[in-house]
Amino acid sequence: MAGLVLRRIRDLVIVLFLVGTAMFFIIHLIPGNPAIALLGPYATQEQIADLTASMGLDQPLLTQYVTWLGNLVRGDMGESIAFSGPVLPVIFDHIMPTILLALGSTVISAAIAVPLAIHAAAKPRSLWARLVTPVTAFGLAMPSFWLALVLVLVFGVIFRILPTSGYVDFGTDPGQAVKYLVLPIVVLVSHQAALFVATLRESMSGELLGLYLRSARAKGVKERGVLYRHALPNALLPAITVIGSSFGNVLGGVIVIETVFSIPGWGQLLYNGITSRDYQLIIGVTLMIAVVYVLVNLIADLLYLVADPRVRVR
Amino acid sequence: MSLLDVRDFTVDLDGEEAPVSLVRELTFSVERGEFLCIVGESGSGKTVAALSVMRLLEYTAPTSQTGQALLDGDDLVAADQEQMAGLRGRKIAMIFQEAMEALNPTKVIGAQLIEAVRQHPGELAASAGSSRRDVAEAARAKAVDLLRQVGIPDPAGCMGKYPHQLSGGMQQRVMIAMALMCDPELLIADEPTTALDVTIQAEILTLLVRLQRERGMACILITHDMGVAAEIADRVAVMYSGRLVEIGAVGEILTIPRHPYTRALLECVPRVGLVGQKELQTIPGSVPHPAMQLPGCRFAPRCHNSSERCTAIEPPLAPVPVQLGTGAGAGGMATALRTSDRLAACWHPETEPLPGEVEVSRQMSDDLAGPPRQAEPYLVLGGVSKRYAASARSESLGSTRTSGGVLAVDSATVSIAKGEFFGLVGESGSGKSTLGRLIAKLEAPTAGSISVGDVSVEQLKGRKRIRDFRRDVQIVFQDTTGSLDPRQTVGRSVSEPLRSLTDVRGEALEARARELLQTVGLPLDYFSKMPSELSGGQRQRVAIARAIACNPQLVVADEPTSALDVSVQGQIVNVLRRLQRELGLTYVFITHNLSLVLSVADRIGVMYLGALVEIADAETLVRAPAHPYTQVLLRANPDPHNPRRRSADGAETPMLGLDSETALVDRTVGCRFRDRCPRRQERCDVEVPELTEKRPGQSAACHFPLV
Repeated sequence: MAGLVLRRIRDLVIVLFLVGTAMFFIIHLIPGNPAIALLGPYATQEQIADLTASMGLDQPLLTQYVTWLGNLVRGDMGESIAFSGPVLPVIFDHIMPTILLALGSTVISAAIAVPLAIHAAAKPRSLWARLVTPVTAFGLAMPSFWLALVLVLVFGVIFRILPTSGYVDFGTDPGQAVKYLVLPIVVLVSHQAALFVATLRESMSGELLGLYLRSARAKGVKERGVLYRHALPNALLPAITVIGSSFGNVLGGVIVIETVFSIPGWGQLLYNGITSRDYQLIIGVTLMIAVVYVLVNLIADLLYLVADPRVRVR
Repeated sequence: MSLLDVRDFTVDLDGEEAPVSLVRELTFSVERGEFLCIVGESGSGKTVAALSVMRLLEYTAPTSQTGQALLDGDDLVAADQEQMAGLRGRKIAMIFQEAMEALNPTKVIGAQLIEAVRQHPGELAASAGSSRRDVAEAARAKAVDLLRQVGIPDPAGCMGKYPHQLSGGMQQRVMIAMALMCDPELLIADEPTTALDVTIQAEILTLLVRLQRERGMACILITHDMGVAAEIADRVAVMYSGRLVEIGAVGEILTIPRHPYTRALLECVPRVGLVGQKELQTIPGSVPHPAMQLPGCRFAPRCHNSSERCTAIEPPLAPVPVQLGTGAGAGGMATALRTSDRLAACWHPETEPLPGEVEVSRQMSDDLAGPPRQAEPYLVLGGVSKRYAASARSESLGSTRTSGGVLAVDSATVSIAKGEFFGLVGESGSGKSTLGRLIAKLEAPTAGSISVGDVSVEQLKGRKRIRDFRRDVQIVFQDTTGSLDPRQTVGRSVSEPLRSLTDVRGEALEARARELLQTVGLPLDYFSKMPSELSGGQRQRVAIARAIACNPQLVVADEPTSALDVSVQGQIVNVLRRLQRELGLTYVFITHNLSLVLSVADRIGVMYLGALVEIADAETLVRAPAHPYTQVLLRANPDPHNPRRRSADGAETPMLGLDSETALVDRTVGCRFRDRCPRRQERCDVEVPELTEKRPGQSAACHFPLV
């Protein structure tokens, strides 16, 4: 287990290097100058040149890259232009909403998906089993920003039950905070739950052929116990991997959703960074997303290790 | 009243069209304390019947049952699943064939055992008091006690283990313990020993009989192996194509089978000692598909004695009158028959008893058509070893370390003459398959030399020379579903070696392929069929045709019949032997089936934990084995013609099979068999016995040989 963690940490370093490098060059390929964006349309040529020089942007690209990499190794992710301060604290200030959305939607999706998937797998002739494929396909195919807009229109504008956009911190008013989170989470869940149901039903159908279920029934275990106590834990194993690797999609979805609902998380941070040419902020957020992604997958692998004794021995 | 009373029990598979009867009008009963064996080949419906009595089949197949099945007054046909859950485990329990598959891989043994009691809390509450804690405590104690009873060495430690941490034999013991948690009155065992080695099989059967006697429990054991039934059953029921064709006391069924199918089934089991005497018995044709409508007896198309009546009217299961031929008078066997409990479904029951033990006279065996003993060696193995690395990673990197990992084959030395039928036997893990793969150059040996003819296999280099070698040496595998490309027609599979190893092309290629099909006894129209359309035996014929396509000199046959029914096994072996006569083939025939190899092979090599421990001709091996391990194997071999007698308490001398403990013996010092050997002495612990000749033509690796 320790070996796995060490290997993953090594992988993380490689991933961060690759992601950071790729982001660095892609951003610099985009036309536009942060100094112009920062100073606004009325700045003089000298002002722009001064600021460009002071930010080191007049250096050759390779020199800039080496400087940037050196700083990164020392833990310095640079200064954000928009927030006029170091990037890292800014990123940590905006972590809560993103975590709430990603984690909340994952947990809720799993909670919804398990019984739906079990029912579909255990009763293949039922109405739900026949509907599950088109329903999950719909959930997976529907663009989340479109669903978000429709939900806002229905619940925010027409019925006025839920706020259309914004975010309230849990510390200040939990009731309000939940209200603001409902719509974004519903959007995220619609996609994620569909994915989980599809995956879990597949592995559950396979597990239901397992001969150990017959043994369980032979000792008098009732059908509910057979499904939930015997089949489910084994069917969850492949699902753990899928949930882990789909977390990247969740983060991508969160970014779009935060922009639509004006939630001050990493998504909005990234969006604002891109519009204001805030190079360091963009790279910083991207790197943090990469870190989270690798960590979540590490956790998924460790969970797998705990859940499946056969893997543990190797 | 009988404990289980099954009457006109029919299981229908409800399909799109008319329902198909998988089991039809089954009638039998099981008394308390009785051991009934249901015997039949695959497709006979024996497992379907058992699972349907348990009402477990309907979970995985759309089946329904009619008729009557009364278990101590409870109607198993009419009960709903809720009521069945209350009966299963408590009054009727079941153990299954693949213990590894039948245990939940992610739950510890203890939890799985205790769960069995938890379903029926009433069972323990009476004795353990009312509090929940007491019941849990009692359940745990009972689980540990049962694990001890079934022979698990460290019961308490086993409770916390996962199924994959146990060997196959231990897993099956755990299954048995799990089934006994609520002290059922009837235990159904579905091929519980089929996947196990003969020695472990003997242990498990002994255990089952002991537990059954101790508890006065009724037992139904389902098996395809007449030898197993002969050993443990009180009564035997024979099933064929969904019908019960014969039932009666075990001694009578084995000696005087009345139904032609029962007789044929018994005759198909190779007789140990009849070395190379004649063709093995087979049953022509195959079991009819359940959906096939036959007006008369379902065995009639394969029966040697069928009449018009047989093909017109299905014979009912009826008491068979005792009208034995004059030859049966010996020992007053005929008069001892009670007609009332001996039933057979046949219009023309057999009248002759099976011949008893056949004594092979010296003279007869000298007439053997086999090769002269002193023929020049063709395949010569000199100290061949194969070490597998501890992990797949270091294996693929070609690790050459001389320690660690597994020494699958340990300095095998033997020479095999041209035209010889050489058998390799041993338990699983003995390295016999690995040795076969080394001979066929599918893997490279770690050390030692292999030469075939004048070719040194391990030094073979160059595309042309390897192709020449492949033409001469071919292999037939056990699993035909895996060894034939499912997307290639039979014709293509058979002609593939011709295409890749010879210059035969076009019409000549197709002609040769058709000729090959004929050679192995397949109809020509099979040329364009897919492997999935063929039965197991037919697929194995295709594999044989493919192997002999380029006229090889040597064929390695790796368990070619172990996935097949006994009636088909004979067909395949007969084909192999005919080819040997016609083409002068040399065989290395790998098998775990002692009866089979003893009746067909010229010489036999016995392997144990990677080493050849005895080499002798079949007759010598049967009559006077030199190595104690060979004797252990022979004793464990279930043989319906000569069943092992069991004493009243059900247990013969306990025979310890290979388990995870004895397999870990340090093979570098002393004899590798020492932990299991009844003749062990001090010398066995310190000195490695070499394979030396003990008598002319018989060598063994033992300090204290039996001869």
